[in-house]
Amino acid sequence: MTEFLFTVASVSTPLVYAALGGMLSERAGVVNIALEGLMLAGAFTAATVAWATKDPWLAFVAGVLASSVFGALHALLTITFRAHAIISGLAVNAVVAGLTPVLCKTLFDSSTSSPMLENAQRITALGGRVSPLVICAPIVALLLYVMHRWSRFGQYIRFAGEVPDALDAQGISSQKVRWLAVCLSGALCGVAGAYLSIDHGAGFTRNMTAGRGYVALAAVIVGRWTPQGALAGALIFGSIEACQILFQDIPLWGDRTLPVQWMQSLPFIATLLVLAVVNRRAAKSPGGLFVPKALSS
Amino acid sequence: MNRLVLWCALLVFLVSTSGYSDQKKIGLILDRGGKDDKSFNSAAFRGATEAKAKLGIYLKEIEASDDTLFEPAMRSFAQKKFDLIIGVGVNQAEAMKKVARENPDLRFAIIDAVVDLPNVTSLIFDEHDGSYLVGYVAGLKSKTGVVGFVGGMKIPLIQRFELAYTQGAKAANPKTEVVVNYIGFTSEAWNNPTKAKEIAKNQYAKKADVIFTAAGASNNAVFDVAADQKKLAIGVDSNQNWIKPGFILTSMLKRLDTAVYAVISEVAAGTLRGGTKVFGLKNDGVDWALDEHNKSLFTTADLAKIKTVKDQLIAKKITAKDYYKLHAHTASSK
Repeated sequence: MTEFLFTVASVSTPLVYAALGGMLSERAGVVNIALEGLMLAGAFTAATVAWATKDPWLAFVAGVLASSVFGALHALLTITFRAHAIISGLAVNAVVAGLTPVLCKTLFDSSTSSPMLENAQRITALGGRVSPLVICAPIVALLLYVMHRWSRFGQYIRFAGEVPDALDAQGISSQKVRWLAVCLSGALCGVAGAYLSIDHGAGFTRNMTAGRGYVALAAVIVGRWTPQGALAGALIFGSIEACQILFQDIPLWGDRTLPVQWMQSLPFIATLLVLAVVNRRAAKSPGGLFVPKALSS
Repeated sequence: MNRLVLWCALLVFLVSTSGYSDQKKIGLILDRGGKDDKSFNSAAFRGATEAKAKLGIYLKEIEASDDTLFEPAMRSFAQKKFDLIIGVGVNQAEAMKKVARENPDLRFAIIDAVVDLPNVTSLIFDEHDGSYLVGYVAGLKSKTGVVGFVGGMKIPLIQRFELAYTQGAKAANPKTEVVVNYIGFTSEAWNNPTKAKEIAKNQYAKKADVIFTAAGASNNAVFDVAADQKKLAIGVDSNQNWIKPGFILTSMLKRLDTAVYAVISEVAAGTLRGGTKVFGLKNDGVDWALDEHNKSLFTTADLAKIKTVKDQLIAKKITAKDYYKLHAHTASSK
């Protein structure tokens, strides 16, 4: 059981950070399918800086900054230039997916991976087992919850997604609020990326995010765009992933086992089921389904 | 005037590029892992660069980042009338069938699959023999009696590794228990170190002390856990012993370099005939890796036992189970 919980914590952590990031951005009214690319940018930068400086925390900061810069690019395209957020998100993902192997090739003469990092170049786990980033994940979720519920900035973000005009009428630029939210979203994805390459992993591998950005996005939706929901959603998907790692080839009867493909389709089946249930319930409730207004138009 | 200069330049360019017609042009199309995966594709690329250095051929390689790019890559080589177009990996078989049929005057070679056309040379490996051998090594060196297998993508090729590995491990010690996991069933599995690491941690927690990993670029994560927990891992395709010296028990060598070099040298000599070439234990096509990085892990008695098993496999006194033969109707080798 403890083994299962450790695995859940390990695989959920990047999902939690990315989902919280996605939640912030979408709550402010900017669809963010760039989570995948933002994470990848963070993972690459963190691994590269860790390799060059041998300082994992400097690398961590660099990873977070790099992802924020790409977050800012998404903000520039969608908010300032009013590009379609899906297109811009796809563009960011494509740029990062293409740029990382090229830079990898230039820096390390290998288009597939960075050199493997020594333990001293990586974030050390507390007690040899639990990474500080894993412990921080629920704390960050709690902080965002507090911000979301009670702080003025949290209120601004919600207004930016619901009635930006009201915010502007108050003399607060809804565009600036969105910008900040999207950049913060990038920073959180940077934490997730750095976790993958210099904490849990030992270096960068091409496309190492392996679709986690999209799973995080599903967690945001399942969690109905709230911090606690994003945390719960990420934990649900993390647990399912842990299940498929720990319970492959479940014996059925005789020599037959449940094919591994079934276990590995679980996250997707679960997403569909959860969305169906949530939507059904929401359709019956008087207020209807909650979706940030700027996203539903 | 300017236009005249431009035309002259173009003419000079055309003449100069077509002037080297006696130099054989070889096009190499690598699988998604890319030429620096330190495993499968690296081995193929090594053979091609060796041929370039020794035989003076012209080599152009393409790394396909997507399965849909194989066919256009082959076509572009075919259009430029390359003397040999090599497809690395079972995923390229369908595209090669198409392009080779349309270009009967050009020569093609494919690795890991059999394409039954007169102008295609199929290069296949006895992975089951090599996997049996490293399975035996794993069973021999395991103290806990539990060994692991981490496959990348669940496809017949990797299941072929798994089946014979299991058999070999049980041959060394009939009580050996084998824990098997696959990373995924899409090609993302080859680049998912995060998941590979969790799987490896889990297998070691289940008391496995040797893990054979056939998972492309995800392999490194397994080696990382092995070194962390002072356990053992087995690499694949290229000799990966150097990556974490002392913690990589051995590597199941699949000598794509030998195969690629052989087929290029036949093209250079003008003797390539097509058909199927099998690379096995006998002609060093597959093997287990023993070098200065893992030598200290074996006693002379171990080495003697392993050699006996290898000889028996070559002499066909032991038959490694072949997934392709057992599942002929589903295997995608043809």
